[in-house]
Amino acid sequence: MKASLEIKDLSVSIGERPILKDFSLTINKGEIHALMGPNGTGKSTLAKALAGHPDYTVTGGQALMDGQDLLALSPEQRARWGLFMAFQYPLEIEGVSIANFIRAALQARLKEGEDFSAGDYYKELYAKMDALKMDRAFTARALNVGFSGGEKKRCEVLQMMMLKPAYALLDETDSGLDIDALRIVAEGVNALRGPDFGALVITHYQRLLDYIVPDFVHVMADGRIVKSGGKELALELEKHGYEGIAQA
Amino acid sequence: MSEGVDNWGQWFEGLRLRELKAFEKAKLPDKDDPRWRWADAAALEIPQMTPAPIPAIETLVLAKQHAAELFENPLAQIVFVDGHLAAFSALPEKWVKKGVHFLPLSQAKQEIPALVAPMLFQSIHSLGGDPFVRWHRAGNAEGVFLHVPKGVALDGLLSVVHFTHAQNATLCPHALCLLEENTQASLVQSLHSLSPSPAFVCEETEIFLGKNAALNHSGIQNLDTLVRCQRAQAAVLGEGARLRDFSTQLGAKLDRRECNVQLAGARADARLFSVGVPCKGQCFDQRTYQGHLAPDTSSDLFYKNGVLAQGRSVFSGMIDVKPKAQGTAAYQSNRNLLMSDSAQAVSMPGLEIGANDVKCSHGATDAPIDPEQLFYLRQRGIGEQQARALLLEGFLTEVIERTEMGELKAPLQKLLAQKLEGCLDGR
Ligand SMILES: Nc1ncnc2c1ncn2[C@@H]1O[C@H](COP(=O)(O)OP(=O)(O)OP(=O)(O)O)[C@@H](O)[C@H]1O
Ligand SMILES: [Mg+2]
Repeated sequence: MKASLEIKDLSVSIGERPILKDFSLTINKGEIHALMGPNGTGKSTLAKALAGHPDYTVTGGQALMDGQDLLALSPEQRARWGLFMAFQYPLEIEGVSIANFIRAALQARLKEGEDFSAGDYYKELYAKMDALKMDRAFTARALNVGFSGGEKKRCEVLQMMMLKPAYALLDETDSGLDIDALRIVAEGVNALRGPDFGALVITHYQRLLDYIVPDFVHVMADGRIVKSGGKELALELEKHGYEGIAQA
Repeated sequence: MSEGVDNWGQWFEGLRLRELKAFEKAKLPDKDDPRWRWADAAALEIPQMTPAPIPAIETLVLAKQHAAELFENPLAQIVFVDGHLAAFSALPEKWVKKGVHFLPLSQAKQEIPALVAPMLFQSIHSLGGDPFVRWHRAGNAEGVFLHVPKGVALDGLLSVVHFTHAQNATLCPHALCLLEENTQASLVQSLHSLSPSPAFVCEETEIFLGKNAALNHSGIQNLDTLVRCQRAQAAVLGEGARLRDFSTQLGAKLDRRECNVQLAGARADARLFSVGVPCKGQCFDQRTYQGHLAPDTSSDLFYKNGVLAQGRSVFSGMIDVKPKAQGTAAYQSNRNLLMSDSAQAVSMPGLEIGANDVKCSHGATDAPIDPEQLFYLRQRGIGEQQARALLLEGFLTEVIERTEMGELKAPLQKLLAQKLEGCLDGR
């Protein structure tokens, strides 16, 4: 069995419109990949299609998670198998507290006969919130309702830290964060870094990559990867822009 | 009226007979009456009065046990089965000494008739259910009499529970609440069933709040789905009085509830809340009236339904600001979450403004579950059914929080969860 998230020639449409075109990328466990590219090229489309959003139709190709066909599963099954997506625009859910939400997500992962300890749960939740410098009062607040942009992103990272996925797709988790928050959130991601974790970090800013140092950087244009390289590719992008890259 | 009556039994019987006459003369509800617009045809029928016999002792014991599980340590509780007294845990002596009365209505009629008589059956119901109210008053009206004398603030929950039990029984739960000047009380009236049998529940609630009186009043309807329910509530608020009214509709096949609030004294304030979850074959029909008769009064209605597959909700509300009611603030909002294509919600908000210095707004929204929200929850590993239930509970929680009736939150969430378990499964 391959410990990787393997995307092979994936084509995805929204309605009749093709967005991803034969997109290929393999993320091995232990690796962090950064994905950059101009607005509207299909970065979020990739993440949502992998997570199983019903509006995105896969018209060709494959996605395998540790050798298993990811695309055959429902969104909740993919999540329970270890796929996490931090949303570019987290949804506001009125009347559902953060604590109850994460708890429901964890309980949905329990195997037959397994117990859930509320005491341990809160201990862990509070520890992770402390690490993310989130006020404990947040646990009782309705999920993302009235949160600032940065608070929403922190809350996404909190969920990821609690759910401990095998693979994470972080869609512009850095946008809306102030400089301190950026560092704190990056530390959160780095804490998961290790041989059992792979991530795709979608971002527009090279600054995030100073904190979450990627193993690979990919540039996307018009639905596919047009250039791949190491961390220095992000710096190059910063200097020359996407047009410079396309010409190179 | 109360002085010089030497046979109260006869006096109350005379009152009942007058109501019977009024019923016989009353124009029966008909579907052309706008107040019955969108109502289920079955809601218009007035059945034969068939009071149930006194239940067996085991039944009464069972009722007592079930009732004891509803709320944590109510200050006092009265329990009925088919309109017959099953249990009565009276108010602690401390409150009795202060002159508070919380009694079964029949007992109050015997023990303190002069207090009951002037106000019993004095409420006016204008929302269409009047013939039912007459029928109720002419029948076996039984329930609670609450009287809080001047200056007394009760600090616990008063609970009245009615159970249906016998086949095809007709029940007439009644509540008469008199709060005098500068008083405070919390009353919860619950309707439940002990057995899955058809029944007809015809309820009247009368609320009179004196100057600066404050009442938290809630109604929890969790009847068996074979039961039909017709309810009328009228509240009159004096100067500076505050009413918080909170209705929950979960059970019954058909539940029509009329809520009439008259803000009669200056600065009176009413907050009206409701949550309902009609599922397959259930229709919850709400008619409301926010009458502003005096200056600087305020009312705020916030009703939400989570309508499941083949369920139906009807809301018709009216804000009526009389010319004298300058400085009124009146709001009305009805929001329905449609959980299925076969869920149906009808909303008829209404506004009539006779004064010029007012702040008023009303609105209604019907919306299906947001697929993006659903996807968000599912991406976290929460199964589709559970995600839908969470979104529905969250939608209704906003109302429960706004009522600020903390003591009801846990019992309601439990009932709600039970209901959703039964309804969302196997769809
Ligand atoms: N639900 C949708 N319906 C219609 N078009 C959509 C939908 N979602 C995305 N698109 C379109 O698909 C294209 C790719 O969008 P996507 O969100 O994947 O871009 P992106 O690379 O994430 O951009 P950004 O950097 O701005 O976040 C865009 O042209 C967008 O307008
Ligand atoms: Mg995007």
